[in-house]
Amino acid sequence: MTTHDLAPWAASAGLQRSPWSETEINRLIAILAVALVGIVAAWFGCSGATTWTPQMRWMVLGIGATTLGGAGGVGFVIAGLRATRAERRAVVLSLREIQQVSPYSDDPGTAAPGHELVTGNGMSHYHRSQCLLARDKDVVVLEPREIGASHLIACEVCEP
Amino acid sequence: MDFLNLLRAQWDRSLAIGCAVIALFALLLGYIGVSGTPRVAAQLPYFISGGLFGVFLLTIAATLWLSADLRDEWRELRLLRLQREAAAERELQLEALESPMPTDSPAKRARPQGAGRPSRNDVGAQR
Repeated sequence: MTTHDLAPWAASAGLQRSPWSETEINRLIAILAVALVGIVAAWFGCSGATTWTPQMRWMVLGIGATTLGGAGGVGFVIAGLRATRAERRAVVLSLREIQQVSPYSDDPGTAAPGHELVTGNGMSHYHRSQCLLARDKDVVVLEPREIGASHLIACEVCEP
Repeated sequence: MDFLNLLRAQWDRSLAIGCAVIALFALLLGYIGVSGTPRVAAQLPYFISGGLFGVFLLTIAATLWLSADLRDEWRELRLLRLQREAAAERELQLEALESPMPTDSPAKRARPQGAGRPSRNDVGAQR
């Protein structure tokens, strides 16, 4: 699914384009600008000084500015991670509401017809065959022992 | 997709690669400058302009690349959620159309004043 699949209703709903608010983006730009100015000032001051003591002061300024830039970047990525995690949680909760079919029959060794455990080429998770994330995809049915032997992770939506 | 379109679509990753290349170039120049002079006082400006500036650009490159990954994932999740919400809304509208509630139905008469509109379960129970 890409943004090219954006339906008209989604566009009219004002689909936000990134997980960051405008304030967070502006804050990052401001921090990086301050850091860049600090590094340039440190280089300029250090080049003009001929003795050790003032050069050390400029060095400290340069290192501080670089650290500030790094902290700004880390904060920005963390904000994005939190927004993405919140969105994932909302999607999982939304999908769980419609996932009401039990995949198992009374026999623990076999799954009910049409509710086998499946995975697909390139997938890192295994799903119930009725899971929305596996439905209408090119999948293969898994035996329980195959799941144990593989490195596949249980889907967080259908919770097989 | 030609190269310009690719650059436009993946501007953040392109910028990240550009920053990383410039950073490596700055680090290399800094190393050459420091190694070419024996005096520490003359080495320090190279350390700042090459070393610190290179690290700064690498930080920007990493931030851009990670934010591009996050943006892609977030956008897909949000689109999925909006589609799901729209589908649920359509489902509710269809249910309401299929089972219109009579004005003097027993269910409505039994409902206390101010109880609000019937829920999905109420509508389903009438069928």
